[in-house]
Amino acid sequence: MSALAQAETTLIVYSYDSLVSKNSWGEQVARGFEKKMRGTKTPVRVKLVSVGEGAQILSRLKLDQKRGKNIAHIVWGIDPETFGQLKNELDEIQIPKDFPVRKELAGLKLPVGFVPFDFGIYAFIQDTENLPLDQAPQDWGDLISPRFKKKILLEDPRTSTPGLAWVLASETAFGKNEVLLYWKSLQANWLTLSPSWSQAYALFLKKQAPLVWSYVTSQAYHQELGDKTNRYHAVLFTSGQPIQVEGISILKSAADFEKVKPLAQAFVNHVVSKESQSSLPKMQWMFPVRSDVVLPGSFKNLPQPKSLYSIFDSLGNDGRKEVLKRWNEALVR
Amino acid sequence: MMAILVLLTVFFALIGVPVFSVLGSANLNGFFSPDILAIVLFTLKQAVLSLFFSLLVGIPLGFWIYKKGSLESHRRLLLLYSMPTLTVALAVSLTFKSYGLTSVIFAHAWMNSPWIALRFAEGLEQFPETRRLAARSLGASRWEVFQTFEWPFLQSRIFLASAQVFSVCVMSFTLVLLLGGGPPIQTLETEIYSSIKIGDPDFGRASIFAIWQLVLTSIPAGIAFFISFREEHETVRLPRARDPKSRLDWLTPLFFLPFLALIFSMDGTSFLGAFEPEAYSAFLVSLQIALSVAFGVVVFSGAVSIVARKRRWISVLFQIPGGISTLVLGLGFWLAYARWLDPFDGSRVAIILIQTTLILPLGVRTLWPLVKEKNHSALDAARTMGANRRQAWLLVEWPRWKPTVQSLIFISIIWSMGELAAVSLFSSENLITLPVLISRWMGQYRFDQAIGINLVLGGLAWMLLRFEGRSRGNHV
Amino acid sequence: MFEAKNLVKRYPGFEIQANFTVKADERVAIYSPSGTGKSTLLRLISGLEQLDSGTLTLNSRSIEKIVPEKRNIGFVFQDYALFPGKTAVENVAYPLKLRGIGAAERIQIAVDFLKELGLSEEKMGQIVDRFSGGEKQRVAFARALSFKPDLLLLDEPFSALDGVSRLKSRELLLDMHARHPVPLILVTHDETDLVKTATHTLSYETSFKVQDKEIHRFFR
Repeated sequence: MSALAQAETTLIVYSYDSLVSKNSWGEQVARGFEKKMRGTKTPVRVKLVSVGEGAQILSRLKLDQKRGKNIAHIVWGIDPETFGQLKNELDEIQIPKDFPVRKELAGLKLPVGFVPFDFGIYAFIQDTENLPLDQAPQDWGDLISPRFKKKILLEDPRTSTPGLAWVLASETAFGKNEVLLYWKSLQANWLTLSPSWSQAYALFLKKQAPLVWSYVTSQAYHQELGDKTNRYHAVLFTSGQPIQVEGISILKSAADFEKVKPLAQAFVNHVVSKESQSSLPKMQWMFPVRSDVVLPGSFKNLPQPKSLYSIFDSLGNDGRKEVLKRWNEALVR
Repeated sequence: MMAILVLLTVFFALIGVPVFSVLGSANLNGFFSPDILAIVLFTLKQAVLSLFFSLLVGIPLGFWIYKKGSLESHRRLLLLYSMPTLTVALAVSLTFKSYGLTSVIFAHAWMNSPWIALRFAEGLEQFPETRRLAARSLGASRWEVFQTFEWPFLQSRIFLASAQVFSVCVMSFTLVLLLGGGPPIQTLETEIYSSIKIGDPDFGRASIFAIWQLVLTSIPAGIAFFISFREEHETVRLPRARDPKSRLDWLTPLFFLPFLALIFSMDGTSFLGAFEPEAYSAFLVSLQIALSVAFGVVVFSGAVSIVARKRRWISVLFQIPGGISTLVLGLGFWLAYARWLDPFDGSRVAIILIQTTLILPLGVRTLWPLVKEKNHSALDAARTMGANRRQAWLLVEWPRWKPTVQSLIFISIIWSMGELAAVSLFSSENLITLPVLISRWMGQYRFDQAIGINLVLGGLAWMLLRFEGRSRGNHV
Repeated sequence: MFEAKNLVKRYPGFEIQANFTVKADERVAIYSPSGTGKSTLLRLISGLEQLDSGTLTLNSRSIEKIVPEKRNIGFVFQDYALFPGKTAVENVAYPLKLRGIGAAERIQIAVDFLKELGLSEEKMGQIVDRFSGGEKQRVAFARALSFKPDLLLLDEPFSALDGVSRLKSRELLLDMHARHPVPLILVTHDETDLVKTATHTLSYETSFKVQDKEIHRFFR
């Protein structure tokens, strides 16, 4: 073993499956960082640890605490809600200076220590072969119309972040009291609640229903895959679309935090570098956060939302439990 | 005495400590709160209904198998029981496009009625033919023979099979999540999952659900267990073939029709995903784990059975995992042993131990009766002829054990290869199994390829089943 | 010749003691009521249970410390103890296989023995599970003799048979023993069996110790 290899530092990153699995964007970025740091005074090995789905990152970190072994240095792929629950364990890192942020994020108030690296815009995707384009719902209220009976695929908010997103978005649209009746009415129209986005989308592609709660960029995915007829179309509501920002943060709870902090900061910078962000759209199927990254044609052709709003910001764990409790009671009643 | 102490230590290590790590957090104040009771009652309701329909289909099917079945048909039914639940859920949803309690019950009945049928047919096989003939010769009709003689004999088997199916339905997770359609279709297991895996883990809440789950599964399981050991034994062997040219063959394919909907919905290249290096690598990992689990189950179950030969309470003790949720046990392992079985690098050992523990009850139930019913005089005879203990056992006992052990190995392998809950806690980038890969591909828009692997898995299970049957010979 | 000298075996509540010899071509019957330890005595001789004290000598060889499989003693069990799922020939050939005799030869030996004992050729290749009592007995006898034992033990060999079969069976035993004269010990509780088949009888005595209610059973 060479002297250089002996000095290698291991950076442990917790993330979710599709972000860091083999051939993913996350893996590519991590290997790129290792390559960049090779030959410097601080060579590094990035150990990517997948903890399952995005909604499970928090539970994994809490389990680490419970067993008394906080090993992760970085958590990659959290939303502001999760960030809020981990706040005390996260370092207040700074976004690089003069960071060119895309306009969609300009109005958002993001917490210090939360470095956004991509964002998604939630929207229904419509299968125009089974529901003509002109029959698309215009807003949340349309969805409870009888013409959409059993035509909607949604995710379960108890087990999925997109699931929680539609619940919060509809609550934003109707208010805390009116939304209870809305949820009950919507229940008659959804075909099923899938435990995760992947299962909902699988059913959608199997033509089980013509509408699925997903991301605007799903339209781009299909176009890149050869959908020239624009069969799969993003549906935008008049009231706007909720936005999901994903971030990367440094955990100060790791035992060797002080030692790895400079490397961790360097990794974060690398994740949001132009070089890394350029390959993000067609690998991660989300929007990069940098405005100086050229988007692929399929992204540029995406419909523009009337407005964007954030839904997770100040939710907190209690908030999450509370809204799910209200939602559950509304449906069971 | 030493053997008992060793077994008790193993029990506490594999079951006691992990379970206590989770259950210890239970806040019993919430045990009878209305929202929790509502979920308990619903879990009970769907399990009872599922069991009812499983029996409704399974018993007549069992009759049919006994009268007209062939080994080939029996094997197909066993294959169905071993299909990954994700595949089953997708097949049901594509075929019927319906969600809710009806779909959940249908899927449960569809999956479990073959098990009921095979056990029922086996019971009919074991009923002494002479008793049947004697009754007929005395003037009893077929129905009277069944009612007066066969049914009392079969009751214990039906009860045992029912207890197993009931436990499976109580702990049902994937089918309820995928086919239930959301509240109010929620069971104890789905609540345990969302309490532990999502957001800030709430162990207190998860523990309450886990305790309720144990309560629901332990009563019928306990009764069934004592019945099974009081009377004839349970085996997992396939019933004897009645008619080599099976007339059942037009019936068993019906059970596989929903999978056709799945197959026809995929494009032709989907199956190619199963041959990618990533899939091949995941397959090897799954197979290694599955073989280790099968070996562990046979060895552990055999050891428990031998020690428990005259101490029934030991066998009862090792039935407890049958009522514990995979999630609870897996998480318990994690909390108790993660310091040493570091999930960071993936822990093959943890996965193997958890899976072995979960199949142990089945192993003990099937091997214990074989130990109890040793053919002592034939063993003695062999000794007097010059055979040492090992040779005598191989001659007299092994032919009895072999079909059961083979079936146990087969079921262990198939179950292990499709298991996801335990694996997901201890997998890593170096330890990706097929179910983890399938789940991952589903999250990457590679739906059909993921389903393709599922179906290839089913094909492999089929081949394994044929191989197992062939090596057993044409008689059981 | 077989000799049991000062054989003692203690059980809770009673003790078995035995002193006797059996010469070649003798058929010694152990005749006593059921439950008095006759079968146990055979198990002690064959090595399936261990003595507490005493010696067993077979053809000048001391065997009390030798494992059952090395004693070269043929044993016909009360339920015949045939190997299920095996044919009649396979049952009889098994001890020959253990002794390293080649397949063709041992099959031939087995067939010859079975023929000698009156089993039809048709039955020889059939699985023994469904044989009648008389057929099973023939196979059991053949199996116990096939490897040329130094001593033959028969545990209630006729108890499972009805009147006519019993008659034929006794004749079979006498005929078999005439052709293969080995020391033979036969356990029975039936007086007619004793009279018709045995050349000698072991007397059986029971004594009581009044104070501690210990029962002794003597075979000599």
